[in-house]
Amino acid sequence: MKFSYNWLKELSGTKKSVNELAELFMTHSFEVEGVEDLSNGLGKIIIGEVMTKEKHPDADRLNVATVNVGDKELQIVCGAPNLEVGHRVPVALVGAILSDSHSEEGIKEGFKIKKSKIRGVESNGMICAEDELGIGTEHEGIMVLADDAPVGEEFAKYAGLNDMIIDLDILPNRGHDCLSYNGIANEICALEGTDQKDIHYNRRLKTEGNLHIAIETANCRRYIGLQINNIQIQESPEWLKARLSASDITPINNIVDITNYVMLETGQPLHAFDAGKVSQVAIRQATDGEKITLLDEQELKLDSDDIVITDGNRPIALAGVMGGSDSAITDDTKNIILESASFSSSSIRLTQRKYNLQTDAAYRFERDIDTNLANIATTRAIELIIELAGGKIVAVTDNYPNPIKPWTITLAIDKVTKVLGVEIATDEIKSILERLGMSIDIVDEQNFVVTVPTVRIDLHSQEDLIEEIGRIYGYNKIKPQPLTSAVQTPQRNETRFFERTLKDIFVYGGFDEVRSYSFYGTDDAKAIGLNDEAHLFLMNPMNPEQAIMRRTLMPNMLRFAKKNFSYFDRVQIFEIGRIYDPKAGALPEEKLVLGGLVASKDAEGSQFFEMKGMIEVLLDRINIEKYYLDTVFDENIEHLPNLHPSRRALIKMENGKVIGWLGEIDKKSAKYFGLKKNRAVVCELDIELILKEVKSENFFGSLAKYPFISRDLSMMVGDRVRVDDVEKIIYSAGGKLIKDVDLFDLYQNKETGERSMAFHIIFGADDKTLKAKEVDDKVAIIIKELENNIDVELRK
Amino acid sequence: MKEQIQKIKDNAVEQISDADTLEVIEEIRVSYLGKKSAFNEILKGLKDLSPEEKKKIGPLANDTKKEIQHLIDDKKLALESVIDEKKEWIDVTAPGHKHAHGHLHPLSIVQRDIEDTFTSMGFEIADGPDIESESYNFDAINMPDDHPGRDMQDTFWISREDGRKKGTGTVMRTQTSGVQVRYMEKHKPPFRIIVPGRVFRNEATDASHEHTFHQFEALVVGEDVSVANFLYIAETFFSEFFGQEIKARLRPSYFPFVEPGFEFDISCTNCGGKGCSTCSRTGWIEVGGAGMVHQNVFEAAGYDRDVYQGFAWGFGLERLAMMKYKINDIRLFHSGDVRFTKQF
Repeated sequence: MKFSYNWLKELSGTKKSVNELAELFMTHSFEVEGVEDLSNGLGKIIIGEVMTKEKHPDADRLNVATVNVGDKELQIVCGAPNLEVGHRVPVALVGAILSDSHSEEGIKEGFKIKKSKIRGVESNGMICAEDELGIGTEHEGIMVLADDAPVGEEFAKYAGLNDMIIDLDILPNRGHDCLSYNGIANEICALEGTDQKDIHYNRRLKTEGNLHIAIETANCRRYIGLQINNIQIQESPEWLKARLSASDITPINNIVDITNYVMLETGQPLHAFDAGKVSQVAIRQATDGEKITLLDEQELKLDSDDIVITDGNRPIALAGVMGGSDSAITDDTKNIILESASFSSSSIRLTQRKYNLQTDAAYRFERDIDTNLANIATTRAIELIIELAGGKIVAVTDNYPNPIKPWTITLAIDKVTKVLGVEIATDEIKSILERLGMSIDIVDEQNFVVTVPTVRIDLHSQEDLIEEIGRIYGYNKIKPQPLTSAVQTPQRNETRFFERTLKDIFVYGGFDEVRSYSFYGTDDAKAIGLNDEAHLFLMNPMNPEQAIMRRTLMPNMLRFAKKNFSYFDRVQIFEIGRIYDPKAGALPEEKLVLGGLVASKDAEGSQFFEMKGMIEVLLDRINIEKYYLDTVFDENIEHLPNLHPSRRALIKMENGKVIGWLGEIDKKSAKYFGLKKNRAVVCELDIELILKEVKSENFFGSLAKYPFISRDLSMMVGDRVRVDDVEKIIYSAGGKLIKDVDLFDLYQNKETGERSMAFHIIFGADDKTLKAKEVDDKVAIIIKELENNIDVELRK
Repeated sequence: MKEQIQKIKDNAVEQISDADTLEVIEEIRVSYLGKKSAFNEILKGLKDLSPEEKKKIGPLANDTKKEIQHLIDDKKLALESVIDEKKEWIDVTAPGHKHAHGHLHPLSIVQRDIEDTFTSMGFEIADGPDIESESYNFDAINMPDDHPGRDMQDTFWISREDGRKKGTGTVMRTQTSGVQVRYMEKHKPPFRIIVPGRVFRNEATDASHEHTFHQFEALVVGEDVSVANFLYIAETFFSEFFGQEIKARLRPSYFPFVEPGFEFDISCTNCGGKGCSTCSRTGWIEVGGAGMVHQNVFEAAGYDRDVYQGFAWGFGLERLAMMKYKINDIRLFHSGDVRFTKQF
């Protein structure tokens, strides 16, 4: 909320400059969003009176005027059509810097008034339009001031603009008391240790006259109605208008302006009805479908969650939010009914949100205000109305079913030190609380019973008081202290730690880590062959592309691949993130997975084997050995994305448990993600499952004592003979003597299609040095078994 | 005989010195020390000498043989060590052969830094679900039913078959604070935990706003954990993280789950607090929110009221990474652009 420095000064009696005040708020109360000098660009603007006006000899549209600015008369050339002798006008003297009316930048782009000749006639200043003063948008003519505007006085002072605005970000828990000048003035007094000014117009209102007010809903907690007759609607005086403008409220007429002024001052929103159109008041919940036309001429269809003020029958205001247009104050209004009421904050919030009506009243009511403000505000309003609009009070009714009284909190004094970590003397604690308007009963040496004023709705617990003590005392006076309490040695978070290991292995393997959103669109899911049902839906997504919770990292990775192809021919990325399975009970199951992708523009490349190689290195590094790739895709495994049917595999542990999958994306997905001409291979590994498989202890195996002997076997192989098929036979035929089998060459002749494989076989025995003949005999058996069982032909 | 040995030796020394290839050295060895060499003949002839002469000539012949053998070995080693400059020269300024490696995402790097620092201060790393019940995300941390944070425009709600009934909804967690309560339900103080994790807000993105980001939360609870302790942990952590002395400053703030609540600033990492453009000339940079855990939160976790006290503290990982690496657009973190990752 924006506050006028002058007004705060007046209420609080502070001697601090606006910047000192800002610093004080910053340290103890609220964030200061900004400080603005209203008189910026208004230096050297003086009120003048037009004495003479003559046509410019050389320009039809210009006039030459003489203007009395108090101590002298100036000749000024002016082009405004509304210039008349006798007008009091704002005059920019030579040297004034005005905002550039034709620039979006406003006063930043100031221009300086110089003594000049306009078509040969000397001009010693400028008569200003509103926009040139930065106080309006009017540029059609010069600004004409009231007839009694004091000639020679600074315009800024006259217009109430010799003020500074301090913009405070009032915390949500202080909306009760600090969205008002009184509240902030009290805050200043508490901070400075001065007495709060007596701003409590807190006398009881005596019921008089005959104004019927019926409260028919518990959402209205208090309603004061006041009828004043024979008032005179007119423009408000300059000082009042200036104060409203300082807090960004547009002046309308004296009655409306007074209601707003009192709201600013006390924090209590007020509303005035034309008593010619309303004779009694009833407050109730609206009925479904009930209609009201608001002040801004917008027609709303209400429901039973809304509170309405009625004249006993039809709604005349949407309670706490905005008045109705029928009962509004007009220039012809003679008698008014003034409302000062309190409503349930949650109800007002609901209504305000539903219709998106952001009014000053709703802003305060939805933050909840003290019901005891109602009479304070009424009293203040009466004072101002009588002064500025005349009239006579003919009826007052205060309907307040359950009056709120101050409450108490017991404060254990040592708790203050214990929580804040700094010694604060008991006297100082007492003084701080009293400065904040609380009264204190000392029960014993350890405890205070603190009575809280009803305006501090935020204070209910001991900790609330400790916060008040801490901030007023000054958090800056608390010195850092090391923790003293003993604590058990923290347990390592195994999953986190494992994540790090996996990331490091992928990074050293040449993959860049990425992070993608946890969402994708239903179209993405469809493109990779996943059903909608496999996913959780957001009720309120940002957009259709981010509407469902990811079931796999794949779509986002493919999108990243496409994106990076603008700069790279090859993309190797991975992500560790959660995927979401809606199947489980109350909360969905979240699975931590590692997704990898190898994509390159080279459509002939060996992306599959690069991805596979990375996975092999990974599993080797974490000591997982007993896994295999299964190309048979069990139809029961749900929610696997579509993959190229002959370039995909499940990664399984010996016991058949699936720990992940890899595969090339199928043609349809490739096309959808813009990767038609590329090959992309993706994998997804279940991190929790793999972590379970990781051997907790990796025992040392004794080193072989006897030398190994190796033999190479090279063979032509038929169609569809797989490396795995050959290896299995070598192992089974070779028996225990085989220590390792490595494929070292795999070749396919592009023209003939003939394929060949070459293996490096390592033999060894645990108890003796093998003889060449023993090995050669084994090799002969292997060759025989190979040729008998599969379509291979050994090269001799 | 003595002269004869001396002469052989002199000749050998001269020839060894002149030898310039390994082949020549080998020839020299054969001719002086080989079976058919003159020396060998002398040694063979020793047995025919008188015992007196044997005593004189024997050691001399043997020493000389050893000496020649040494000279030959030395020369051989010298010749073997000679480098053929023409063949062996390489350009040492040419680039090294690198094994292609990838890069960690900056958030991973920052997260590791943070986790390591806190772990060294005795903190445990706790985790919780991304998709959270309305009760853990809001109720348990003392967010009122009609708190604006629960609105559709601030929070992503998960669509469930039964629709959203008040209090039973499911949300993408808006903060990691729900984990506080989950942890406290299973553990008794004293403890120190950190909770790093992904959080979600339903808001439009721009250079400084993201709907998906990472929060980092610390929670310390005991019988006498105070605001002063929080300041100590905050200053220690940030000094470590930025590698320079950092001061922390608290300002009053409000969050429903703490009381008192603070906004906390750290001394500007760019100017050290003197005031510069990074800190808008204030000397301070706003980093996050903190406060003393609200007793209602303890109650929600099953602790008795007024028994424990502690602080909770949260900040954004992205924001910290942006400060550390001077990244100017938060959207880069989830852009998948590897030109970004490759810089770290």
